[in-house]
Amino acid sequence: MTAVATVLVAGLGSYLLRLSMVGAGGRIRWLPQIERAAHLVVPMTFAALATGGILASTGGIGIVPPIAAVGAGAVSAQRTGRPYAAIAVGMPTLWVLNALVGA
Amino acid sequence: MLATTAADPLIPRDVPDPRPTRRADLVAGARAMAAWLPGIAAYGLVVGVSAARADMPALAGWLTGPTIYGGGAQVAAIDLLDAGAAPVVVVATVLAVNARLVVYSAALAGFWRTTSRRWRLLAAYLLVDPSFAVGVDRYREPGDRVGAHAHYLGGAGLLWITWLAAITVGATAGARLPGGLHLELVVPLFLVGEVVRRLSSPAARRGCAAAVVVAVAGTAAPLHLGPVAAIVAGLAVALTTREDRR
Repeated sequence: MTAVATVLVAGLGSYLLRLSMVGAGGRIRWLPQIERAAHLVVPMTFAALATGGILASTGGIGIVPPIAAVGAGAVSAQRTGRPYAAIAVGMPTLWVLNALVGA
Repeated sequence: MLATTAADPLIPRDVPDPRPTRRADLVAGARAMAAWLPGIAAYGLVVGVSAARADMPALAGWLTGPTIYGGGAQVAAIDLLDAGAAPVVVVATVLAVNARLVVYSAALAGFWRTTSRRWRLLAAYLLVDPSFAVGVDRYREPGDRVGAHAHYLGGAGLLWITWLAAITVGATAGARLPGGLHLELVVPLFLVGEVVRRLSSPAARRGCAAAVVVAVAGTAAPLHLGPVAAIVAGLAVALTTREDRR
């Protein structure tokens, strides 16, 4: 299956998720456990994907700069409550450390 | 100021309807969405840049916008396609991230029961976290349901336009940025930022810790199944953690 076809299938599945309960006209009530799982799966997915992305990025530049950048980004995101702060602080940290290591 | 009670004999019959018109509701919905747009635009730029930098056709990366239409799920799809994951893994992960949309769908279905099928097909397509938040606020107000539908469409429509524009700009600019910037770390950093603000409960913290451990252990898993295994493990730990445990 090509990348475009995969995206189209994932998109169709996502649309069916959106549409799934609309046909029921609000007559279906969720168990609290299912609703809880639907919300908890988001941070689990992001944590798993972030870990893979961070490990992949250590290939060319070593482990210290990306790990330090992620640490600085995580602290800034937690303090500000804004996920974009992780990029705003993490990327400059990475560039500075890369420049120091390369110097 | 005129009184508005119908029983008041002093009110002339030709007093304009005090309820906002449909167009005014569309604008009100767009205004309610405006507060979300700076963050949404930044997020869309990140998704667009990651799509441009990924080892996949540019069209596939951009298509995640109008098809999958959800930042987290789009990032997951781009990340996995870039890593060469099997299509079934990509689709399963996207559906896992978007599973919460079923809950949103159920929450709004009752309000949409009396609308036309075409309207429901469109409204469901536009359903994502910000449009749900803006829409449900208005639906919970008493009164005019038709106005609430227009309010939803106004906010959700503006969100859709902004999101696709941001992705397009990000994808166009991202392809021209130098490799020395190491932009491959932008998406992991964004995901880390998204994770840390969701760690308010013990269940989320323990689950994420488990997901990280399994993701590290599963980096060499066949078919790029490591992330899926990590998600399942994290969810299992989170769901078996009592919320009152510290």
